[in-house]
Amino acid sequence: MPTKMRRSLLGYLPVDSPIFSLHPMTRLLFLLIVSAYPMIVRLPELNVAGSIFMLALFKVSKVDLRVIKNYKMAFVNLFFVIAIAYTFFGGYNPDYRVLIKLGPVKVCWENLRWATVVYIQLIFAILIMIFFLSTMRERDIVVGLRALRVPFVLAYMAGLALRSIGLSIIDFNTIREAEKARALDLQALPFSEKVKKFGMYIVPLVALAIRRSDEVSNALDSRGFRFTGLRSGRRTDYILSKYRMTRLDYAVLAGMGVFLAGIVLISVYTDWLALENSLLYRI
Amino acid sequence: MAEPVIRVEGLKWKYEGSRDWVLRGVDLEIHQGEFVGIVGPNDSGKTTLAMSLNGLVPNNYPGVMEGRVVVDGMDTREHSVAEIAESVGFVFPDPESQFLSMTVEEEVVFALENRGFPREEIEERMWWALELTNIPEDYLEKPPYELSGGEKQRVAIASVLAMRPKIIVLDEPTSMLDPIGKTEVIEVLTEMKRRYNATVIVIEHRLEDIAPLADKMVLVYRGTIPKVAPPREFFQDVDFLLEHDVFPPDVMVLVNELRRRGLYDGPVPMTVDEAEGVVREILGRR
Amino acid sequence: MGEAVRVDHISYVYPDGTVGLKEATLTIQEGEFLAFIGQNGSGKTTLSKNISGLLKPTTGDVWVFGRNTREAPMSELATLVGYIFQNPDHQLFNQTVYDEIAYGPRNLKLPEEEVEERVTEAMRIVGLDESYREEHPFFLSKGLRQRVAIASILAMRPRVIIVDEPTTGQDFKQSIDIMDFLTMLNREHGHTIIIITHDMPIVAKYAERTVAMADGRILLDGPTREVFAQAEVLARANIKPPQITRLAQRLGDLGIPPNVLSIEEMADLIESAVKGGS
Repeated sequence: MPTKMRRSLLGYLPVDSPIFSLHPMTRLLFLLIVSAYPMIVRLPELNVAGSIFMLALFKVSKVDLRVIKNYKMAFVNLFFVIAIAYTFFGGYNPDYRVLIKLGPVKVCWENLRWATVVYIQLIFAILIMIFFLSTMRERDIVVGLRALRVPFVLAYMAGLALRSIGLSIIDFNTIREAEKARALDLQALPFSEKVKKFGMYIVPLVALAIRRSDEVSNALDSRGFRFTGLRSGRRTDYILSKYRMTRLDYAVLAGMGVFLAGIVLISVYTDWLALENSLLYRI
Repeated sequence: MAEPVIRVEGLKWKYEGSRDWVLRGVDLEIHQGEFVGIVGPNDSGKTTLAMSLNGLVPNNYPGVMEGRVVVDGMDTREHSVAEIAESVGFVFPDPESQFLSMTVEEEVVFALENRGFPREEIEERMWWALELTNIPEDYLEKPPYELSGGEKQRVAIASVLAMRPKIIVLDEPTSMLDPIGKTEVIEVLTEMKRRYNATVIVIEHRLEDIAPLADKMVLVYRGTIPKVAPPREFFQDVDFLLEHDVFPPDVMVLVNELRRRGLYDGPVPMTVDEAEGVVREILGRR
Repeated sequence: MGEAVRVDHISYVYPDGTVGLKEATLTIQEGEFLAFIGQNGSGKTTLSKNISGLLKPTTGDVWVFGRNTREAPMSELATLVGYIFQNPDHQLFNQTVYDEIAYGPRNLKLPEEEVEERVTEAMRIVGLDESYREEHPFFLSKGLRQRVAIASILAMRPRVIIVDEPTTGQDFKQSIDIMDFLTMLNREHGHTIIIITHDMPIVAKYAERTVAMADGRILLDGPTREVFAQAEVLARANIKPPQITRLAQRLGDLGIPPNVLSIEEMADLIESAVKGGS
């Protein structure tokens, strides 16, 4: 490997990624604040702009864009799922413009348009989530939560939960390999059988998780960890103390906050963000 | 002689739901600064004995206990594992099962943070433990899961050493490792013996490595302790060990065989070096 | 006896870009007992998984009993090569021991009477008492879980059996039991056995042939005795021969050969040297 990499929750990130110059708390708040945008704003143009902004952030932070490519098919499928859902359950109104009639099903422009709006909103939200997971490490989450004064026990549990998901994914792959070794041809199975197989994986996954949680609780005790409720008492925040909020952090936080406040004010007091302003609604 | 730092008296233990006693009356005294090797076949009660030295047995497992264990003045029935952890560090066989964090740095300071040490002291103890276990600085931000087996176990040992416990118990620290990993861990144990005057108790199958380090060897067999002796004495009766399903290092068994064949009548060697000397002596006589 | 496995110049690159194998070539005859040795990351597990068809080579081909692993379906490959994973917990996913062992044969679409017969046979071979049939595998001890895992592979009657780290975490006596069992499968049932291991004394005692690997390449391949005699090559791969072999290698000047594998053999050599010399 030419550059040194750090493992994030969803892949690897080069050590020199600028994202590491931000305090973990700032990065944690980024998720909370920025995910609010697509929840407030429906206007597709703004959400497309937001998605492009996220892609730019991926680039700047040196996240390997292959992460997104892995989800390519999921993105495409998502659109169809939403479009089909709104076509069937979106309702019908005599003023709707019918594009095609497939037997009793009327594919209407109004429903597809609404599906598109929701889809673009979701894409923006998903990109934010992927960005968060591919730039955060468990350590960053614990430090971020501690900086926000979340009790250590809760912050630690959050980290532990994320890690156990990761370990379960590794287990899952080994189990599938072991199943192949027992003459299982997944490709040859009908869909209903495949679904049944997934049910079977639960047994070893839970077995492994139970054994692991026993081990962790023994290890915690052996390192003098006392569960004394949510107050961590005399516990030192050594790792947290290694991070300092810088001017950059305050600037980023202020920027995000001002932007969010602006959007909230605009959407409450004006109709600039109304869907009728979208190009989609002028066709 | 001074008061022993660990005293096990008539210890019996039975896990809930099992019919038989795992430990059937064990007595053992260990003094401050001793390096103790515990050997014996699997399922003989070694791990249970180890876990009773830091209070995991009886505190974290349901079962029936008789007799008592006093560690650094604490009766394990009257103190929690977390309290006993201030005196006893514990290293588990599988390094991955004991990691509590996703970076080496967090891992090594975890127990120190729990104890509420000041920042500077944490930092100082962390560097000391990393240096003793030979872990380079650029590992600090790595996830321990991504290291080699030997490195993983060294990190686990470092995070226990950082507490500077009076007593360290290692339960088969090399059993899950490849040969390089085993050698790395044995080197750390050697460093610990040389530079850190703690009481070290190691359960280990690889007698070849532990025999030259130990001050005292303990044989655990079917829930009892049939033999406790310094290594040279412990390994003299090779047949006794074989009868108890313990296979001493090749060179000891060889020299024992040479004694049986009437070719040699001196003591059993501890290392390949000593064995080389024995064979040269035998062949030099012709 | 015919050819069981032919590995023809295969390389394997993992999805994350790690090179697991470089240009490995190897032929295994039916009925052999082999050991793959090398440090972690040397490629021995990758090679084994390619032989079993669990992984398909990136370049080159693997043939098992004349079938290319790229083309043969897993249901057929599993009857040719069985792979036993190190941790039994990854390979036990059924509610009873019976279903667990029957799982493979059922995937092979065998009639239920034959499934029953194979389960009974596999349980007998690994020494699992009939009373365990309805037990939940999760609640068995680790040793018993390991046996169920082995039985579940045996029930498919694979002609080649690969065992990943059979003696890790086992004591001296348990290791001997497992290896004696594999030897029995090899001698009496004609299975070709491949063990992946770090346990050099076990290799010296049981494997007829040893393949030493380092950095994804096959470094040495030959009779175990000859492989262990190459102390310098092994040292480069960080492999330490058994203690008795290392002792022999220090005594070359006294006429002791560097390929001694057992204590008995060494004692005989010394005895005859003493008697011959006096």
